[in-house]
Amino acid sequence: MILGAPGEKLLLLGNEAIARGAIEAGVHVAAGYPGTPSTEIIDTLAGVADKVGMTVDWSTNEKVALETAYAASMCRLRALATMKHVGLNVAADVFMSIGYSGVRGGLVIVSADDPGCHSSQNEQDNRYYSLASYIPCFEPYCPQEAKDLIVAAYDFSEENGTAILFRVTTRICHTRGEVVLGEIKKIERKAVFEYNPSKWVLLPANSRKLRVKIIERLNRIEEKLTEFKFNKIEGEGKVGIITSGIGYAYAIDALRELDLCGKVKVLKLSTPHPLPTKLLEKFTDGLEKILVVEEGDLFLLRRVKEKLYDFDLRIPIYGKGDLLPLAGELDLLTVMRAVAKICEKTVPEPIESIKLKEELEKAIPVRPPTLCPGCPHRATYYSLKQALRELGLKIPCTGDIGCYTLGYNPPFQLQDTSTCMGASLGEGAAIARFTDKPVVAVIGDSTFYHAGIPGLINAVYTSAPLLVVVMDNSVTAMTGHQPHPGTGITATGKPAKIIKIEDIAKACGVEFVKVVDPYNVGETKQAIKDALEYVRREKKPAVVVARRLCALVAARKGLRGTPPTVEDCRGCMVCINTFACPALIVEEGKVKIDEGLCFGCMVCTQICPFGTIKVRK
Amino acid sequence: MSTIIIAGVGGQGILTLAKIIGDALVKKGLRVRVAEVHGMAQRGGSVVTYVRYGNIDCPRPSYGMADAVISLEMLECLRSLYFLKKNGTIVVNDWIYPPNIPGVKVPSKDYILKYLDKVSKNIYVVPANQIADSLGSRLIANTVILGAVARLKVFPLSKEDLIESLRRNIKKKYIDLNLLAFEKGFESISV
Repeated sequence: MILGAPGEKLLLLGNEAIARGAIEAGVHVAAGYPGTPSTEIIDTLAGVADKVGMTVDWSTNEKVALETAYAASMCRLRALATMKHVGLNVAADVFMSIGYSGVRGGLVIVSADDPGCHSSQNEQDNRYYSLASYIPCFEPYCPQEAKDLIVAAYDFSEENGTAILFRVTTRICHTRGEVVLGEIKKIERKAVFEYNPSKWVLLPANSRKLRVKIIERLNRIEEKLTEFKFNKIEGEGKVGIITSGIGYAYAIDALRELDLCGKVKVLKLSTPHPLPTKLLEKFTDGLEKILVVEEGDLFLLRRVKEKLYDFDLRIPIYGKGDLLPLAGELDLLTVMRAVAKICEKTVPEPIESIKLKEELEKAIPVRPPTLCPGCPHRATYYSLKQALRELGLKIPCTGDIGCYTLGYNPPFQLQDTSTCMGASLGEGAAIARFTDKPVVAVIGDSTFYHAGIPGLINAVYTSAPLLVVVMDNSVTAMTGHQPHPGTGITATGKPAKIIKIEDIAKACGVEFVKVVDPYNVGETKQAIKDALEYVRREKKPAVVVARRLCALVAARKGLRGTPPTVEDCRGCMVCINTFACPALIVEEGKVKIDEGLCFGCMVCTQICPFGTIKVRK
Repeated sequence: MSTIIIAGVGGQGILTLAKIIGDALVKKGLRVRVAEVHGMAQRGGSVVTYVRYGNIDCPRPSYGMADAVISLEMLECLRSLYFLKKNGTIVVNDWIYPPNIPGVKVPSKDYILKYLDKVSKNIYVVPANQIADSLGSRLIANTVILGAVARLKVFPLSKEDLIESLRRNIKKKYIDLNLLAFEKGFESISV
């Protein structure tokens, strides 16, 4: 489908539209690290990589992904790097340097921001990276424009010798919309490394000169963006709305709802940085007030305010922080209210619906995400909790980023911190040293490869009494089951060397390393207890790898077991209160198995104190 | 322009349902936005998708803007009810699934229906899980609901439009079962 013919109209997810754009632009190399809401770009490209002759990688982390794409650019190829917003923090070191060196082959970096924190630890607005790096930022408003703008971004990147930061948000990435496909360019280029030390070697002497160049480059780019076809002025009037990215979709729908289309002047921008000054000057001429509609922080509002000062124009300007809230996603009603306010109109308030929502929020219990039936992480958490209890230990449990972060919730409550990728190790080892008490760090397999290894080396180096529990479900699960260096296959399904976590741990100098099957409660609990005793006695780190394939992947492979039976449940609720598997249900005070949900992991049969949950004979 | 909310619990096939409908709308030449949420929220949590079409660009609606709420679970129907216009259509699976929290208290079916009734008289309760179970797979309850939606003409789409889209978006080996589920859902509504 994604390789459909030009002119064909398809319903595509924003991320699929970006992938199609990359194919149309003749991209040679794409690399990323999975992260919501960016993941489907590489997933889509990986599925057709061989057909279109593209190299597609799931890299160990975002920094490596961007280095891969940047290197492709050094070799004259067109390259794409994708990541979620916080992933760009990991890749920021190389990103900032690319701002100095510029590119050879076209280079686009997709940053998928997550306002509203649907699946992230923060709401950072990565347009600020564009400001800091002198790398222009492009931002589409819908799936169709996402595709078209990617294609334009590659030509723009090569014409101007700069990388492009392509900023999208959840409601672009994960919105499906109609997309008319374009021509697929075949750009035949052989990868040849271009020797150019004054460009690629960022020694201070070179960087000082490049700094002067990139300031000039950004000024040239800014002038070109006035004519850029994705930036345009619509409508007329004394009131102006300036939008960037998906802000345009909200603004235009608000105008429709308020019957104000054409009566308000709208500046639709797809390039929030650099701001095309001449276009903005033309737009603001004769305006009496301005509303800026943007998703994320008040990035554009700040930039426009600076420009108004330069234009010597003192008119009221509103946006995020006053008429629009700074926290969370944009909301159509909120944008309608803001537009109505500056147009001196009124919005009919949905009072009954607002009251209803408040009432219902009290009446209905929340439904937080939960570990799946058969999830090996639940089994590991159970054993960890029991081991700590049996040893009488109340110690901090530093957490990390993945499905297992859900161990924060009852009944486990074994995530006392969760900061960013790999932090369980860096933080855990430090807390253990400073408090002189053992700490448990919980980290997943993909996260371990991504950012865990330096933390582990540091823990060994500083003799930290840290137990590292690697919850290894042998896949990057949370984002939809991408392969990683421990899985033995590449993004495009080719065989790869399996790099074992236990081998890495040993190579890092950890002397206590044990691999267990979390479905075996006795074995896992004992290994954790032994490891904790070792950590306390030796004042050194220990690693327990709890390895069992993600239940969703296993089910897809037909590895579902037979559900157990319950005979004469005594209603003690131990399984419900300490294990909380969604397949265990309570009816009239007795526990039953929901056979439709049960994965057949048999862990509950090892938990029931009366042995009434039994393996089916 | 129209807005439809599709809600349920992660794992029920809500995104697939929304995609089938969105695809059929695109084939009718309409401008369509189907807003999904992926990642963490999919692990057994609440899932809400917005389907908007016609003269629209914004994927995310607000209070009282929806013409219909379609839900694969009753509590999730209630949770999304504030999107519904007065007397909009409600299509809901006859199933209450308590959240996976030890000791959780959930409202009764009577309570839920009473609430739905407050907002609309156009309520259709479909025994989609029961029908799906009788066909051998809980996973096709979403297609049963799709059949009911086809009968109710929630969208400007014919039964054939939706069946064609179903064929385009479901793996070949599951097509027959899904077509059966669709028919059963269609028949479950008397108009």
